[in-house]
Amino acid sequence: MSDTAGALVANLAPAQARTPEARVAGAMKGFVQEVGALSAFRLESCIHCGICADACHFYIATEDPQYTPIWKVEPFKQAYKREASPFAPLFKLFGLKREVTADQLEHWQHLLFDSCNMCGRCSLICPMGIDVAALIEQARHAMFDAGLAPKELYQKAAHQRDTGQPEPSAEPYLDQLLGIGKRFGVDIPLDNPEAEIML
Amino acid sequence: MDLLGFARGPALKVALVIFILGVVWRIVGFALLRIRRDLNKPRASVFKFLTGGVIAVGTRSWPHPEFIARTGPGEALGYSYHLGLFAVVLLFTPHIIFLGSLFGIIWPGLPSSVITVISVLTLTLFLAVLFRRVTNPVMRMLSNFDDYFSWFITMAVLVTGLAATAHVGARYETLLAWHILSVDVLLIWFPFGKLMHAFYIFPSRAINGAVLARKGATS
Amino acid sequence: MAQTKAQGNEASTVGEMLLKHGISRRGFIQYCTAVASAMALPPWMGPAMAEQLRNAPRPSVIYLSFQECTGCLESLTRSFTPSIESLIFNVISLDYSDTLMAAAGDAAEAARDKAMKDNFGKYVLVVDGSIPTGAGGAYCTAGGRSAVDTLREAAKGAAAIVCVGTCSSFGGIPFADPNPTGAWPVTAIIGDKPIINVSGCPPIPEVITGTLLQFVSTGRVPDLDEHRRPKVFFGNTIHDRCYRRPFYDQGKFAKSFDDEGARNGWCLYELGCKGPTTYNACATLKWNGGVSFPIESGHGCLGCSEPNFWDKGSFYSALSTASWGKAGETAPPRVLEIAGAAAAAGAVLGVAAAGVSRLHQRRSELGPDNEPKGS
Repeated sequence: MSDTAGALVANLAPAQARTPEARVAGAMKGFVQEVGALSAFRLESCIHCGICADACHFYIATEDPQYTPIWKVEPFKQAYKREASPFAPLFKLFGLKREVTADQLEHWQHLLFDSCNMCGRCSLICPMGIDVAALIEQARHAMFDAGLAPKELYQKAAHQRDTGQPEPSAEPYLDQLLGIGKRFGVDIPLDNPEAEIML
Repeated sequence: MDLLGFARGPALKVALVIFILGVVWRIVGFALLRIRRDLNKPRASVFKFLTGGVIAVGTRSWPHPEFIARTGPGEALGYSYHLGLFAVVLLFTPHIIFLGSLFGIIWPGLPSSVITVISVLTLTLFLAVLFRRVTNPVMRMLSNFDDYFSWFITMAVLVTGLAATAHVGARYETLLAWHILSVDVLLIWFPFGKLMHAFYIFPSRAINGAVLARKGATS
Repeated sequence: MAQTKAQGNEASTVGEMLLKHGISRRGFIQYCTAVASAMALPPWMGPAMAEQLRNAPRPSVIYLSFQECTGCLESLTRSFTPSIESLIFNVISLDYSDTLMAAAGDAAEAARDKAMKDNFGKYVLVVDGSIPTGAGGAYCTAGGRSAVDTLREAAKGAAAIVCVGTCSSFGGIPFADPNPTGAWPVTAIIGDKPIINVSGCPPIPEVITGTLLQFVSTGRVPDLDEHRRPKVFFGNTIHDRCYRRPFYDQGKFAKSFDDEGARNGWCLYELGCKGPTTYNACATLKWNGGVSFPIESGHGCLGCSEPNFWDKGSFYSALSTASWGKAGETAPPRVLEIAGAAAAAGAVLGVAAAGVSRLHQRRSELGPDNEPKGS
């Protein structure tokens, strides 16, 4: 396979060339894909007690309320309520939840990528039992889909998605796999339509 | 029909219907979303998976030792007013009879004068809780209409109940009517706001505890 | 009495009437003082009332009975100490009462018409029983005239109207669902006269006489509550004056009639007592000259002095029972069915909402270029 670098640039280009509206749409759609029953339950359960802040190193060090862990996923909580919650039609009909804006997402990059190391203390302290760290992980996926992640992370994730490995290599990934199989006498299943896991 | 008859009659019936309909709608509405199968190999047995959930219900009831200094007082305040509310709602004989007329079972209550004392204490704690929500920077940033209205409507039930008992502000039956009407509004609001945490809290702790236990973590 | 009063204005004064019946001036002052005290009037009012009344001509009272059971009049006349209560009959000139007067038929009606004409604008009209308006008023007629017409006619010359009993005050038992006779209280029919409601089923005799005496002696309507009942008698609830209140406060309730709690005199809230929402003097003045009242005798208050008390829920289910059913049911009907229907409707809406969300998810699946698949 040739142009991994070229493919990389090609993948960056659409993200960077996107309009703010397209970024928001990308983030929202990405998040909608992430949300399942479990994440929905977690987003529903938050009672705004603010106890998660007391567990977060970033909040404790700065006493800046914006580092409250659940606040880091606020645009996605808003999006969930507006788009996918059981009362979403009512929220939309009566204009009760605003749409997430591009500026919001730009600002939230800092909160999601610079201000969380996924230590999980917030998940441990939440009296409602919400796994906040898991929600941050899903929010990061959605930010990637919007092209709003730090450049290095974005490059790796995009490369992973496109070629199956986060770093470019001389030999194509598929050829590497087959070579390993041959060397150790292991049958590497390829193009198996019944597979449960796809590498 | 007078105001009291309306409050305990048609208004109550409508409120209960909206309450049940809304709660079921909301829970079914998100429970039927996609459930992504965790294809990782479980790191713990099925037994640990199940008991992990049950244990989490208990362990999330109080912060881990390293958090207590920062979080203890706020969490204690929260528990106190919840206990006060439960006592007043579930252990006052007229309330027990009301619930009994709906569910068919009754249980013994506390002396009515003790309930009055508990109500006054709970009211004070409730005011403290609002003060905290408005002054604490984290909570002020997080709070929205849901938080303030849920506080307000619960407070209205408390205040009108005490006013009726104390005969302050209007004739007794008028105060009683406002008390029951505020309960009706609370029931109608319940499925749409944070009050739903009453239904969420134990399943949420259990599910997340189980998911973490499956990964081999304790919480 | 009524016979001798048919002569109208040459009626003797109250004082002369009392003397005729062997009641001394001192005795009469004592009576008036007792009434004034019961009405929380200042101490000097007693003798003042007595003096005012003794020298006055006896005020004319017309007593009209409509759709009633006569319990109110029985309460007044069968009182425990008739020598005190019937004193009122020495004070007033009861010019018409179809139950008490000796005359009947045309003679009685003529006596009434003359008394009304002679005392036009000054007589007190006392009414008991509700007034049916159904079938053109045919459900209650006397002497060929309907109750509605008789009331309207009599109200024209009345100085004030005193409604004795819950029926005339609020409609009472005839007014209760389904109200087949189209019964109404006096206030629904007469709008242009001062009306005092002395409600109760029946009212306490002292409450009736006290109200009448106060009006005829002062000419003024006493302070009334929002239901036009004299505040002095109807200003407090039974609950607030009940001698069993300490048991309510302690949480000691009788669970069934004649159980241990009942025999210990515990609070009757769970047995349906409507004391907390009933305004009357039963807990303080009591009945039969202070002998007892329903709660003291072991039965919960029915709330008989309140409007619509027949339709406000069973007498035997507690005040805090949910009650959206028909009058008289002890528990709200069909709770399970209603709850089940609501839950089913909620489930349908929930399934629909989840379906819409999942559709949204499917439609917005991202393709390999990170743009949404499809549109």
